[in-house]
Amino acid sequence: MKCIVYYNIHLANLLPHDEFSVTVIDRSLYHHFQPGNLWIAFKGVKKEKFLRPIRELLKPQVSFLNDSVVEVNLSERYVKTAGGKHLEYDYIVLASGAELDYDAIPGHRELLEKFGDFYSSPENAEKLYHSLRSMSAGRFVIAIADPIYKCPPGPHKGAFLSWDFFARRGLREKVKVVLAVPVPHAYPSKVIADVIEPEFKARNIELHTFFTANEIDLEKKRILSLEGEELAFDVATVVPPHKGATYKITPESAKDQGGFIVIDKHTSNIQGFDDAFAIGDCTNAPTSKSGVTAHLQAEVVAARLQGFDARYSGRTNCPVIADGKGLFVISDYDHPPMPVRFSKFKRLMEDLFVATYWSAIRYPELWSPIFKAYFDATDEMLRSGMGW
Amino acid sequence: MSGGIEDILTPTRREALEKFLDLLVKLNESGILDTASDIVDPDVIGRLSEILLRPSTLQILDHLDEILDAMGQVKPETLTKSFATLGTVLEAMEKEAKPVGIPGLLKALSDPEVQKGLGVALEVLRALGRSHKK
Repeated sequence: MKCIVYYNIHLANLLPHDEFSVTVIDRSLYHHFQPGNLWIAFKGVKKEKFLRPIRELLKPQVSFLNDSVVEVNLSERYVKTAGGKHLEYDYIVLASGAELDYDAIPGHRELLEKFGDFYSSPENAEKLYHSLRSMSAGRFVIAIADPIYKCPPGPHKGAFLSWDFFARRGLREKVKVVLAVPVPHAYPSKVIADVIEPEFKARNIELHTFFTANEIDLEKKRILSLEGEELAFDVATVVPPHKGATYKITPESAKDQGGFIVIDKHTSNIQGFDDAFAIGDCTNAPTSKSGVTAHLQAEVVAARLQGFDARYSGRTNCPVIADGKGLFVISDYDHPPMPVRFSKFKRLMEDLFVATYWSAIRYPELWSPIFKAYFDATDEMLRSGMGW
Repeated sequence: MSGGIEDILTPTRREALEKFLDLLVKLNESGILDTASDIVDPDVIGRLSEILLRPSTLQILDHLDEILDAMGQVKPETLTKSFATLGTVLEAMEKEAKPVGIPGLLKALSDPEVQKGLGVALEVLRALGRSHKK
């Protein structure tokens, strides 16, 4: 069986190679561990730690094509690439991620070019680290331009880690960390907001709610919101609006108005196609856009391709980390986020996850059973409402 | 391939590699390598993970730092003695107890062991009262 995977190393490594001839297409030669941007931007970790050649991460039996997809024809079962390749398949899995749109709000691209950010790339995270290093006083503002964005706790992690960054440099009283969110509380879920807000208060992190960044005036150093508020900054970073797949998919009905691929939220099948799947941030699945979602969907698709009736529950496991402690936002399609508390153990778990990431995607046969046991145990906590 | 191995094997690496190879020989001779090779199997790892990663163990691990702090406040000797007492009490609970009324209670109070136990219970009650006041 010929299987094409457009960006997802984990899935390609999961498929049995005596049964599937797998080709991974990726426009980059390197895989970038996106949560690493936080470590680069706020801890000064070298970006090379979070970049690995894709070829080294794939099992030897998996073929790798360094190219961009320009068209996927689901009806005729072929893929066209920018490099002129025409590839036919028996199965296809699209995991092309969400596109970040820095041109949607005025002044955003200029802001990115001046200060960098912790969302788009290791290079921009490095730039933000240098921007923060240059601050000795003033306001560091993190804002959000659209309520739907990948890694929902990302801005909160940025607020906590930047506070820690300035506190360690003796600038706690001189640099003010400000977080502006489009929702009524610190976090979309009130249960989680109730845990985060006291921690913000304890650190004197300024929180603005109902603030959807809509325009950036770099000259006057102001961010204007859709709701009519204005925030002053010395250094700022704004999470951009996200777009779905920009390459052509036939039929056009496979994408929604935002370009996100329309899938069955449990099986990840692209609507109307048994032989085509989409996973991760490129889909319209009503769950968090996060690495955990892509990981669990990859496991489901790999199982379904082998004839098992696996289904994705919508499970999330989004980490929020502060100085020395952490928590996970755990929910699924049928259960809102369960009550959780900050703990040192959960922070250790997140650090271990970061440390074992490369091994986990290269050797799923070792790590998948361990992750499955963790998800099964925490699913039980979620269903019983016991919290963690 | 000319010069390949020599380029990789710097003196410090060579020293580390020799020690590592010696260790491998010991692990092989003792059968540990064969055992490890059999254990590193997805089914075995999965079953072990299911035992270790349960709601109860995750709850305990999440509070581990606080549990250790709390245990550190108790003298180890007291803790050891208390475990012995707890064991005896748990064994006693296994016995089939007869219902006891007021006359039976008064009769039991003449037993020196019951008298001693009552004294311990009163001390525990006093300590509970003091702790509650705080």
